[in-house]
Parts: sequence; structure tokens; C-alpha cells
Amino acid sequence: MIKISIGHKIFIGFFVLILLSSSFLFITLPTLTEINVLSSSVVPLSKEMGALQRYTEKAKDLESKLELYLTVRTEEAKEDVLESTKNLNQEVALIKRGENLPRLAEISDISLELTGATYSLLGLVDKLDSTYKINLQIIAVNKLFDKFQNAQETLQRERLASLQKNLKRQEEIITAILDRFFKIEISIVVFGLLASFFLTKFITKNLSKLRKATGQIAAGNFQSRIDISAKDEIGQLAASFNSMAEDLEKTTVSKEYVDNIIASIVETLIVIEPNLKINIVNNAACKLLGYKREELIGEHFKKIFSLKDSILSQEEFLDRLSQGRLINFETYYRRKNTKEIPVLLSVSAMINESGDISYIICVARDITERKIAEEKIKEIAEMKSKLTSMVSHELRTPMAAIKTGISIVLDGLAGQINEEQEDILDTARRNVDRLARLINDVLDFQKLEAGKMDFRMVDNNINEVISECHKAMISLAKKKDLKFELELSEELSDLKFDRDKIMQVLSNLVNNAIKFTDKGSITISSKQLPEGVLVSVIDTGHGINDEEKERVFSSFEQLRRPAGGKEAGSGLGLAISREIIQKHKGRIWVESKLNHGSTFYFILPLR
Amino acid sequence: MKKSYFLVIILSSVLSLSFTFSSPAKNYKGKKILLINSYHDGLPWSDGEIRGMKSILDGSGVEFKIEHMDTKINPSDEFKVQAGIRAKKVIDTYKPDVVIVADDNAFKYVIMPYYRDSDLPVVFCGINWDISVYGGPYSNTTGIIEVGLTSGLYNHMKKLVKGNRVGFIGPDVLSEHKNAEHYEKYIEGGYAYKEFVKDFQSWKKAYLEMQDKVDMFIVPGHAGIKGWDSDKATEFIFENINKPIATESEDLMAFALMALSKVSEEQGEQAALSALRILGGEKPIDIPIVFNKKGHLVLNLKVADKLNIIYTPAMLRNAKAIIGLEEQL
Repeated sequence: MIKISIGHKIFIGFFVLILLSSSFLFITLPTLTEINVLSSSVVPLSKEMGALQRYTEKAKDLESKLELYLTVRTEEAKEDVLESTKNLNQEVALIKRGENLPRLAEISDISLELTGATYSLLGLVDKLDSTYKINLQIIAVNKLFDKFQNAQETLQRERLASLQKNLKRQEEIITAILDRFFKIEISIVVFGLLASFFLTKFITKNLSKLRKATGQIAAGNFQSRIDISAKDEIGQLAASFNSMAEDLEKTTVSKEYVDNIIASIVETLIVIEPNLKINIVNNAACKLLGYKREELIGEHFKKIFSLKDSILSQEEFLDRLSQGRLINFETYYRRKNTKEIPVLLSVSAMINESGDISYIICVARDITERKIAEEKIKEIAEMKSKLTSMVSHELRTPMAAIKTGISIVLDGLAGQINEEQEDILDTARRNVDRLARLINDVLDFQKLEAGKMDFRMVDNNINEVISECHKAMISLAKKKDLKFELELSEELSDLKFDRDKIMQVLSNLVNNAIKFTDKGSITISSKQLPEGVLVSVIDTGHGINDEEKERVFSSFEQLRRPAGGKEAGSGLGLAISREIIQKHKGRIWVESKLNHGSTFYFILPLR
Repeated sequence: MKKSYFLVIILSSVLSLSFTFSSPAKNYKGKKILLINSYHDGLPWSDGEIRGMKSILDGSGVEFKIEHMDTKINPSDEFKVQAGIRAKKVIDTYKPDVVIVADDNAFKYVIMPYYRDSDLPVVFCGINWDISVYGGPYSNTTGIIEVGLTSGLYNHMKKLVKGNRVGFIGPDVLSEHKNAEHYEKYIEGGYAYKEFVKDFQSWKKAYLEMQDKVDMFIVPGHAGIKGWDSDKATEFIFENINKPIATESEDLMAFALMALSKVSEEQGEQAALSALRILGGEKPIDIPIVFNKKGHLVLNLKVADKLNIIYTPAMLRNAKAIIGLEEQL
């Protein structure tokens, strides 16, 4: 099949129109030549008519001058008559001498007669001859004027008839030309209309197919193809379009595919516009909220949203939502039956090319079950706390009685005891002391967890507390032949902290260091940092492995006991220390390497 | 489909450009006009009026019928009344669409008694001076009033005569009094002398008394002057004349310098034109009443020679008749 482009089709159409127009010229050429001949013959006619017109004007001038003279009979009027007569004679001479206009000869002769008669009349009037003769001469002159007029009219009539015949022939020719022109013009118009009609129909038909296909692609139907067999530009465009659609189909997910994904999401998905009107709702959201989809589309987000227990006001929430600034937020959705459902709302903004928010995606998870579980955990924790508190308090009293009893026996107040009995009782007293510390730790931890521990935040010098701790613990270190050193910075900022609580932390850390160090040293240092004062407790013990470092500050976690270790802790010391430091808005951590010692740090922040 | 209709509409519009339309000429076929003539067939004045009417009506398709009352030949009142009754019978029988009545008697004895303010449209032709003497105009009438041509005569005479004093000698009858009164305002300074005479002697006397005091005479006619003798009048004038006479009556042209007489054809033409307008749908009362304007100019070379007057070429050219010319030619 021959490829003919749209440009070629239009060119061929115009070429045919030009051919049709040209045919008009070829057809009319002979008749135009005849018109030219006829037009040429008009020239001498019009020349003769012009001369006749001049004659007539001069004769009329003479007539009017004569009328005036014979009415007023003044010399001036007579001069005018003579001048006019002279002019007419000159015209006669001009015609006879120069122009070859034979039909004017008769007029010229009459004109000469007329001027002669006029001179005679003037002579009669001058001589004051009988008025009868004068009137007769006037009548004679009148007759010559009539004769002149008749001759002039006859000639004019003839010439006009000739001219009319000529013009009529020209009119016939022009009419014939116009008739042909009209027919050809009709043909051109009809051809042009038909050509335009079919060309337009052809182009618009294919363009319509293209428009429909692009609309389907825009709607996400990437299987859409165009069936255009033309080989022209539109055909090429259609082929390119089909190729593009195939590529799109391969590389892009379709709307149906996206719809399916949205429908299959188990979490609720609600897409809202920047004006907070709901745009898309998935099945999960409809199911959760108890609405039909059409009941939500176009509605304001407020319809399904509640701010129960929120720290944000509704205005703040909606403002942040409209800006896509909420990320994860626990809030409530309101069902159609007004029941409120706790959800974890995750918001993200869809930004368009110009950087504006085009849509806001709200994915929410129903956390009703989690909330119930949390409530239960809270209840259990409270119960545990109450139980622990009660048990601890209940243990203290008998413990005090036991300890007092053992002390009385050991001190010999109840009678002499032998060495073996003394060892047994000493072991019992140490275990009672240990049990008492354990109970105290448990009570402290409970208080801290419950937020019932009071803190006295006053100005204190950390170095004094460290020194006091050093003094209290040095005997314990010496028992294990450990060096116990201080490296204190002299330039420390004043801090507000609870002296007893920080003392408790330091004691815990130093106690652990001594406990887990068999040889070497224990060092406490203080150092000024930009954010606060750093306190370090460094030992040369056997260190902590990475696994233990993860849970060393957890409650009831005990470090791996060193070989030959005599005492086990409560497992609450470091947990309590962490709670105390955190209550001071500080930070506590450990750095350690197995068999290379450990360093426990804590920072007390500036006031 | 819509595109196809659009195509057809465009082609139709283009083709329609080649067509032209013409409206048919007006035709009064089937319409009837009846002329009631006061006088008789063969009277020059009446014949002129009828010629004028026919020149308009010929070719119009109108059926034109004439009824003569012969009141010039039979001037008695009794005859005129009977003639009026006969004319009425003709009207009732013929049932014309328009009736034209020529001259006063037809109006006075037919229209005034029988068709005043009736449904029959009437066009009067040549009523002298004033239709109100018959209680007109009526709601069913229009037409042409016949008046004198004194102002035209005066304008011609001014070109031939030195001086501006005009004398008037007319019969002592009502119409001439009206004529004189009507036209005096067109005479510059009015008539220098004005005389209404009852007989020929008085007329001659007035001429002799007045001719040294005026530069020209307006003498409308002799009808109503008792004892009038045209030959004697001519003889009298040629013996005594030294001031030219202008007249509206060609009867006086034997001794007058010029006459400007009314044209009966003009009045007939005007009456016929008004009749056609009525047939065309106009009401008589909506068609204006008009006056005669045209006149026939007659010159007398003998009188001019006697008074040493040279006519202007235009007068000699336009004159319907020149008295004294044949003798020389």
C-alpha cells in the first residue's frame, strides 16, 4: 500500500482546486479577447460623444446668452452673445481641422448656420429694424437651435444605441463568463466542501480513536490499543501510541491493580484531599467504620474522627493533618453508631511536582485489643506493686525481730555460746542483713517505678559525694587488696541533685566493681562535659560480655557471678541506679570488654 | 447526519444567490371609472379633459365610461336637474368604483344632491376656484380646482415691458373678483388700477382711462361682459393701443400681446391620477386637492410690432401659437 501523508492529501486537494480555477481562465480566454475588441471600439465612440457634448454645451451657452440679451438688451449681454458665438465657431473649426469625426459634419454645418443667423439677429437689433422682423429672426434662430438639437439628439441616440449594443454584447459576454465562473465556483466549493468533509472526518475519526485510547490509558486501562490502519502521520502516531501503551503496561501497575491492592489492605486506608474531604476509602475502613463507601466520599474527615484523650486540640490535629505532619498518632475513629475505636493513625502526604500536597494518606490500625491488653498489664503491675509492697513491709517486722534475737544470742546476753554456734548465728545474721537489703532494694525500686520516690534536688558538690563514698567503701576494697583511687576534676559546675540518691548510685557501682574485681584497682573520676558532669567508676575486673551489657540495667538481672564470688546481689542495684539517674534527667551506661575490666558512666546534667 | 444537513444548507445558500425575483406590475383590471361630463361631446374644453384622462387610464386595465350632461347646450336649471337625475341612474346601474365629475354642473347637480359624504368615491375635475360653494370637500371627494394663471402672465410680461404698473379690467362676476383678489398678491405692489365692468362700453372706457397710468394690462377674459364684440374690440385696440394686454382667454388674442390659457388636458390627467390612487386603496379624503398650473402661451407678432416689443427667444420657442406669423411665411 502506498503511503500518503496528510500533508500530501491536503496538497493534492489544493492542486485539484488550482486546476479547477485554472480551467476557468482557459475557458474564458477567447471571450475575454472579444471583450477587449469591443472595449477598443468604445474609444472612438466616446471621443465622438465627447465632441458632441462640447458642441451641445456651447450651443446651449449661446442660446442662454441670447435669451438674456434679448431680455435686457445691454451691451455687456451682447458682448457675451458675441463671445459665445465665437466659441461655437472655434469649436466648428477645431472639429473640421483636427479630428476625423465625419458624423459631426452636419452638426458643424448647422452650427455655422446658427452663428450666422445670430449675427444677423444682432445686426437687426442694432439697426432698430422693425420688431416684426426681429421676432421673425428670433424664430429663425430658434428653428436653427431646434435643428441643431434634433441633429445632436439623433446623433447622440445613434451613438448611444451603438454604445448600448456594444455594452450589451459585453454584458452578454460577462454574464456568460460569470455563469461559467459560477458553475466552476460551485464545483470548486462542492469539491472543497466534500474534500474538507472527508479529510476532516478521516482525521477526526482517527483523532477520536486516539482521544478515547488516551482517556482509557489515563484511567489506568493499559491494555487499551488503537486500531488505525492508515499509513500516514496519524497511523504512525497510533503505532507509537500502541508501543507506548505496551511499555506502560509492562512497567506500570494499572488502576485496577492498584484498586485491588487498596481493597486487599487489611489496615484501614483513607485518602483525603488537602481540604480534608475524603477522597478514597478502602473496604477495611468501611467495615471498621460501619459506613458505605458513598456515605464517606466527599465528607469531611471530622465525620469519622475523634480526639478522645488526645494531647492535641481538634484544630491542631486537623492543621497538622492537612499539612501531612502527623506521622504516627494514637487517636480514635468514630463509627457510624457513634462508638469510638482506638486506632494508631499513620499519616503521610502525597506531594505533587510543584511541591504542594495533593493527597494525604491515612492508614490506621485498630488497636482495641492492644489497649485492652495494656489495661490488663497495668492492672497486673499495680497488683504486683501492691503485693510486693505489702510482702516487703510484712517481712521487715519479723526480720527485725529475727535480727535482734540473733544479736542478743551472739552478744552472749542469752548465755554463753560455743564457736560453732557463733559461726552458725553469724551466718544467719549476714543472711538476715542481706535479706533486709534485698527487701529495701525491692521497696526502693517499687517506689521509683511507681513514681512515689521523693527527690531533694538541691545544690551539691559531686566531688564531696564521691569522696564520702570513697571513704565508706575503701575498707571493703582493702579486704580484697584492691587499690581504690580518685581522679577528680577541680573545675566542675554546680549541680542540683539528691545527694543521698546519687550516693546510693555510686555505692551500687563501687560495690559491684569491688565484687567483680579480683585484683587491680577501682577508680572513681569526675570530669566536666558541655552537657554536664561525667562520673566514671572504672575497675580492672573480668568485664562484661556484649550480651550482658544489653540487660545489665534491667531489673532483677544479675551479672554472671565471678568464680569464687561469695555474695549474690538483689539484681535491682543497677536498675535502681538507672531509675535514679533518669529521674535526674541524666544518662547511665557501661563500657566493658570481657577480661579487660568495666567502666560505668553517668552524667548529671547542668541545672 | 448533522454534517450532511449542514452541507445541503451551504449548497442551497450558494445556489440561491443566482436567483432573482420580480414583482408583477399593478393592474386595475375589472375596476370601473365613470366620467360625468357637465357638457357635451365635441366641446374643445371637455374633449381636452377626456384626452388627459385617457392618456393616464389607457393600459391600466380600467373600464372607462363617459356620460355627458349637455348643460352647455341646455343651460336651463330644469334641464340641469333632469340631467343630474339621469346621471344618477347611470351611476346606480353601472356601479363604478370611482366617479369623475368634470366641471361645476356635474358636481352641483349629481354629487352634491345624491352622493354627498357617501361611500362612492368621487374625483372632481375643474371646479372653478372654490369647492366650498357646494359645501365641499366631502369625505368621499378629492380632485383638481381650476384657477386662473395671472401670476404666470405677469411674470412673462415683466420680461417684455418696462415699468411695473399693472392695470386690471375684468368682468364684474364673482369668479373674476376671486381671481383678481387671489392673484393681486403676486403682482409687485398690487394692481395699480383695478376695474370690474359689466358691458363693452365700460370695458373700452376703462382701457382708455387706464392706459396712460399703467405699463401693462391684465384682462382675464370677456365672459360676463354684456355687448361684447370681438371684432370691434380688436379694431378699438389697434386704434388706441399704447400699452400691451395680457389675457387668460385665447378669444382676446386678436389684440392681446400674449395669452396664457388653461390646459384642459392637465386637469383631466390629474383627475385620472387621483382616481387610480383611490382604486389603489387610498381614501379620497387622504388624497390632497390640487390646482391647475400649466398654461398654453399664445403670442401676437402684430401687436408686438405695433408696440415695438421683441419677444424673448424662449417665449417664441414655447408658444403654442404665434399670431401673425403665417402672413410673413
